[in-house]
Amino acid sequence: MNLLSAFPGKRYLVLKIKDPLARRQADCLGMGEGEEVYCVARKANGPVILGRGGQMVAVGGKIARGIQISPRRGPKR
Amino acid sequence: MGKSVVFMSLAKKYAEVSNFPGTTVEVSRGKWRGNPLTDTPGVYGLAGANEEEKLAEALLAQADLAVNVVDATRLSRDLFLTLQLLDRGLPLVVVVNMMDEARNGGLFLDLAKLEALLHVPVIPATAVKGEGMAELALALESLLKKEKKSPRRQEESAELRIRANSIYRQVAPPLAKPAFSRLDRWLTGGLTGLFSAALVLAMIWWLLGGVVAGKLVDFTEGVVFNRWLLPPLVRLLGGLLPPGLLRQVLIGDFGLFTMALAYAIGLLLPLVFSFYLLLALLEDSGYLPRLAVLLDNSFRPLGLNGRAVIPLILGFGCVTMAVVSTRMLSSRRERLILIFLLGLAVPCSAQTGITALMLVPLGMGWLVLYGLILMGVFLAVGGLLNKFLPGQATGLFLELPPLRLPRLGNIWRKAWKKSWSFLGDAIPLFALGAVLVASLDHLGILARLELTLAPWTRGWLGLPPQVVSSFILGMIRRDFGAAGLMALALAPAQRFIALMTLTLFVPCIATLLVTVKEQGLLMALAVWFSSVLTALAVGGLLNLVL
Repeated sequence: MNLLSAFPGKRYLVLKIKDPLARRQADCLGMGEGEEVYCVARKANGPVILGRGGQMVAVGGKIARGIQISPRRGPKR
Repeated sequence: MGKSVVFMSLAKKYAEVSNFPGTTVEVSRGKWRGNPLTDTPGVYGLAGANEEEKLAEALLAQADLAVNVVDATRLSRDLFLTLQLLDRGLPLVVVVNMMDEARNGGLFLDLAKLEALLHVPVIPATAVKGEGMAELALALESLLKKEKKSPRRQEESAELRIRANSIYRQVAPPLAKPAFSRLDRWLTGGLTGLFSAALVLAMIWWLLGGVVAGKLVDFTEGVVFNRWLLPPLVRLLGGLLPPGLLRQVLIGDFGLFTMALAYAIGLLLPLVFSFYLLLALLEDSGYLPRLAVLLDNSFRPLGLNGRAVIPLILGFGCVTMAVVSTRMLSSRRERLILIFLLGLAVPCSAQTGITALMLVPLGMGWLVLYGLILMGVFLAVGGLLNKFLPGQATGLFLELPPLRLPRLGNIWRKAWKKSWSFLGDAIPLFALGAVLVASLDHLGILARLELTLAPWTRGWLGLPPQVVSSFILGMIRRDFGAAGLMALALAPAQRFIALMTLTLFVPCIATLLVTVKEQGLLMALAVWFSSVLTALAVGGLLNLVL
């Protein structure tokens, strides 16, 4: 599933970020591939607001469509 | 992160501080105990993602040592840059800032362990209160004696992130769930967000147009300049100087004292200072990135993403500074579109102030029409540029800083610094304009120009020939030109057409020079000529309709 299908309040694992620039920026901020993030808020066509710890990032629809995620259940990592 | 606050504390010099990275558009330089000290743009990594990261990288290449300011409440994020700096072999000291917020939030950090893991000094600090600054000075003293190491292999960003996370897990508790407050939801939500944005805009116009322009300027211009300062000065110089060019240049209708200084200080300074106070409030509260989220989708037809809101809003303060701050955008195409729009359809604070001053007495309808036309031109030109420029818009990827109550001291200092810089930029240009127009007037060239251009002014724009001097002043600074309109007796529709045409008229000389520097001469000339054409086209059409 891509980021535009995420539900606010749920946790997700970031699997793949298609946009190379966004991938580098996400790594800088600790929200890159392999990281666990919260979907904090979402508009239907973006932006999606992701959270990790105390920080939040707004991801526009165009980039969000190229971010693959999978839902996380169970204890936090 | 508090990087600029640490810089100020060391250099004893004000550097601009805001609640989001990207405000350090101009590199602040100072000295610490005789050693040169540089405040780099705020970045989270050195990936070369935008101009700021490239600039920070270039500055670091010249540095002998680096002070890495990290946010105690966002340590996981900031360790990425710390590791990148360590890999470059620079002697480094890490300042863990905002320790008070971490303590208040119950966040315990094992900084001794962090120091052991990084092998560099780690200083806990709360820079705004001066805590940790003495320890930082001591650490810097000992670091000055250290040599640069040879840089290590540059790792992929994913590998660096794994190392940063591993260090974070050893020194801090697991990350908490992010907090998205009700206010956050309100400000970024569709209808509520638009309502809040409209409210903020209305408040700015009311304060600027109603209170400052209506009351404060009445006093500074009407009483201080026109009653107290200028009459004795004109009497004194009028007695000393014989009639001629010098007298006209100093105290004539377009004189240095009677026009340039009176406009710059009596009229524009109160407007500009008040505007910068309001802008600083917005910047420091963290509202602007929320506005970027709200408007992201609306910017797509213009080939921009929501990030463009930040330089755009800064442009309502000073277009020249906003052109520089477009460096925060990711692609050259976006910078080009935004610089074009800033030069064409964004009035700076001084011009907005004059517009408010002249339109508010005519009624709200004129003000709304002014806003709608400006928005129409903005959207039409942005849409055309997006359609015809090669390439595509990049997507939004923007960090949201926490919403904070702005610190009044910082707001005051920031507004004062920017207003001071406004005076420094404006007064020489105003003086140049005054000398130019007064000389043209004295030599009779102005009257001839008015006559020659009459088919355009009277025939096409429906304005009296005297507006030519305002347009000449407007070529130097648009606000100066607009201020010149105040002296003319114009009917409401004429006043509106003149203001609208001048708003869309050429960008000021300072903006033009910065555009040449940022985008090249060709682009600067393109902005200049298309502004003239757009201004005349819109002004003429308004004359036909109104």
